[in-house]
Amino acid sequence: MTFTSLSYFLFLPLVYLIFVFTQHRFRWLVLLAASYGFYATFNAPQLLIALAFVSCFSYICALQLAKAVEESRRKRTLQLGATVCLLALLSMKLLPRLPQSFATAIPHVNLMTSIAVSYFTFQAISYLADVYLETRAPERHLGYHALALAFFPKLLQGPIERAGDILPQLRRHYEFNYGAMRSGMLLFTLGLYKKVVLADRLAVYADVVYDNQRDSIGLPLVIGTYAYALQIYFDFSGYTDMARGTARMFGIELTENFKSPYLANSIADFWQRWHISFSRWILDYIFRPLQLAWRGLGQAGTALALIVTFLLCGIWHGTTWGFITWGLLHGLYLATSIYYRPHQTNLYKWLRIDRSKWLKAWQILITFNLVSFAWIFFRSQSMTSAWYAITNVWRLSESRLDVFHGTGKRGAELVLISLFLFSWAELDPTLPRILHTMFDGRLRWLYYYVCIMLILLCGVFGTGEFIYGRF
Amino acid sequence: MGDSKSKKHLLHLAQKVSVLVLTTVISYLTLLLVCLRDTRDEHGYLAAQLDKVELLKNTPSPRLVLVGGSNLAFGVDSAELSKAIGLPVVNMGLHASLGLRWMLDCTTSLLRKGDVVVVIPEYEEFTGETFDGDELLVQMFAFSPDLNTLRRLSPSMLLKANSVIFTWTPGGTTAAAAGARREFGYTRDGFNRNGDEVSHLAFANVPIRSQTRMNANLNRRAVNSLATFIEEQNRSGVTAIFVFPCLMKTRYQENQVTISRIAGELKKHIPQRSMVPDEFVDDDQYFFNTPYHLNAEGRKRRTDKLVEVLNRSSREGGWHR
Repeated sequence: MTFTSLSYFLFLPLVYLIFVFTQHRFRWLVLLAASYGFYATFNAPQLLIALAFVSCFSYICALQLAKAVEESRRKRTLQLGATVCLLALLSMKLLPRLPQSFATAIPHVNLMTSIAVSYFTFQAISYLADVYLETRAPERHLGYHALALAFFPKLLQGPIERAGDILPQLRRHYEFNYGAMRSGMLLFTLGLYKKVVLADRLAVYADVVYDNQRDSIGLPLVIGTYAYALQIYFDFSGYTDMARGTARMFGIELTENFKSPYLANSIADFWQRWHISFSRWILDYIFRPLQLAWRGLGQAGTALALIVTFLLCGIWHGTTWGFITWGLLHGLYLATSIYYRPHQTNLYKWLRIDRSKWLKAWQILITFNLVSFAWIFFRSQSMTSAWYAITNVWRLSESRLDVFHGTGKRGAELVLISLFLFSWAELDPTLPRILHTMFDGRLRWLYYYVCIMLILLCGVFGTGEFIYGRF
Repeated sequence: MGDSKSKKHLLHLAQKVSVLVLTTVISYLTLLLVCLRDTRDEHGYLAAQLDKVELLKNTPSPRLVLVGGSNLAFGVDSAELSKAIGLPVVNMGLHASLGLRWMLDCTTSLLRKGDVVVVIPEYEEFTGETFDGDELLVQMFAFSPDLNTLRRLSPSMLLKANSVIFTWTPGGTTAAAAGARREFGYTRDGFNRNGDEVSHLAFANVPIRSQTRMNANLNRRAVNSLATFIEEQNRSGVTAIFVFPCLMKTRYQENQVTISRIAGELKKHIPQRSMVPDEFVDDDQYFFNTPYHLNAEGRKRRTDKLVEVLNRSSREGGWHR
């Protein structure tokens, strides 16, 4: 079951009604059962076992951490907890790599998926680190701890929540709030629009180019690459909006995972706006310890820590050369910026263009293109195919747009109009204000109707999969 | 739940949301019906189903009825088959996406004692959810608005059929259909009087793009349903036989593990001696525009093979001609 499947639209109201009519002290149980039930729909009992195991193990480790007095014992407990969680993640990630005949040997069991494992193990590790650093006390109630890891809106693709943010909210007494419920529903609808109308329509253009790459030269490769850059953003941010919208209905506020990432004016800025909960996680638990360890090397140590961190980030997505190169490229972008950034800032000041709007627009354009260039490796099926895209994207005079034949003119128009409206809303506060007035006015139910009809009529249904669900 | 005021608010919201959902569902279905009616192309490929049903009704028994997807429509010479087998042949093959379940439903009520029904579904019918059909079945409902088709429509099919509304241009269908008929296109006129698609035979092969691998999830329900169908037909005096479809060699090689699993599962449930998937696998040069659509030469080779297999089956199973 995913957020775009019809069954979710039956599951969600049902869980909500049971939740709301249950006494406060048992509500955690309702949400925990719903979350495990939601996860069980993927027909992968091994994942349920991994979730239960990581929940119990991190719970015990955290209690041991709090109990231990000696620093060496505390450190050992943290190391053990983090290693076991990572081993659980690794074993689940390796299962789909087994020979196909083995992977399909057990009837009705899907051994080919490792959906959600990264997210709950990362959250468990961050919880242990927080307890070790004494930034929060261990959770004494196993149920609430397990729920914090398994809470269904964020289970499959995050956001990766800090225990300090989510646990107090889960414990808080829920009171029905009309405003929160309405805003949760609207956020969910916006996410649904991003996913089924925008991301899945953009996917048509990216797939046409990248699945039959040899037919594309020049402009189609540019269009395919930009389409993929936008697809992955709308796919993931759409998911996050749906997750946040669902959680808000239950009175839980999840972390905002995206803040207009393609309006970033540098790669460092991009990573503060893209998959925020994950970039914070790798910054805190991989980059900072490495930077600390290599502090003797000065700037070179920081640069090296960045390269290694993003290399690991690439490997987390997959062990293919495409993902590794993608991570390495981002590491290199950030590492080199350490050296040139101070000179660049001085140059802009000297030229007196450091506050220029045009400079900012130029930086945004460059950043977007650098990010899109890295997506080529992320999306291509092999390094040969990525190399083909990079070497042939420049042959603009030989471009033939007939590869897009059959993708539909109306779909392209819809995507362009939507992109224009989304960009307008990002750049100018007038549109959000107009929308706010519309959705607060007397005709709001008419606008809700129009929005739902728009999704029903213009969405691409049936694919269901989210790109980041694979990681 | 908290105080009665909150409860009242929740109830109020639930009522409004229910009305909103109901209104949207009714509006969507109405719009879908209007568009389906308007885009119903009497000369389109799906309209051939009407001719096939008529053909099946009017062909005297005993006859040989072929049931499956487009592998049959594009890849059998029914006249040759009829000559070799000695029975009139009705080729019901149209499109795999209509789902084997619906194909079997449509044929069952029209079969008579003494008929021989040969089921040749595409491999995909036994993986994932293809067996139940997809949104194409919604479009078929426009041609065949019967209870049989209606009961096979699921909410997800109706939702996926929104492409009919999204691409709808009032009056645009006729122009599109005329355009399709100018060169090779999937049209009703392309079928001969036995139900074989023959218009493609005059055209050169179209390059076949690489496709995603077959879904590895075996649909045991599909295998069981086919086994039940064969058993029931055999019990009621109709000879029902399963035969593997034709398939392009490279596609077969890419999906050999999945195909072997399908074959293994079918063998367990359908007690037929001659069941080897690679019997109908042929070189890529014999395929026209998809891994299942044969060209003229491939069609001839496949028909000869089918005659051989049916003769063997006749000897083994003892069905008479």
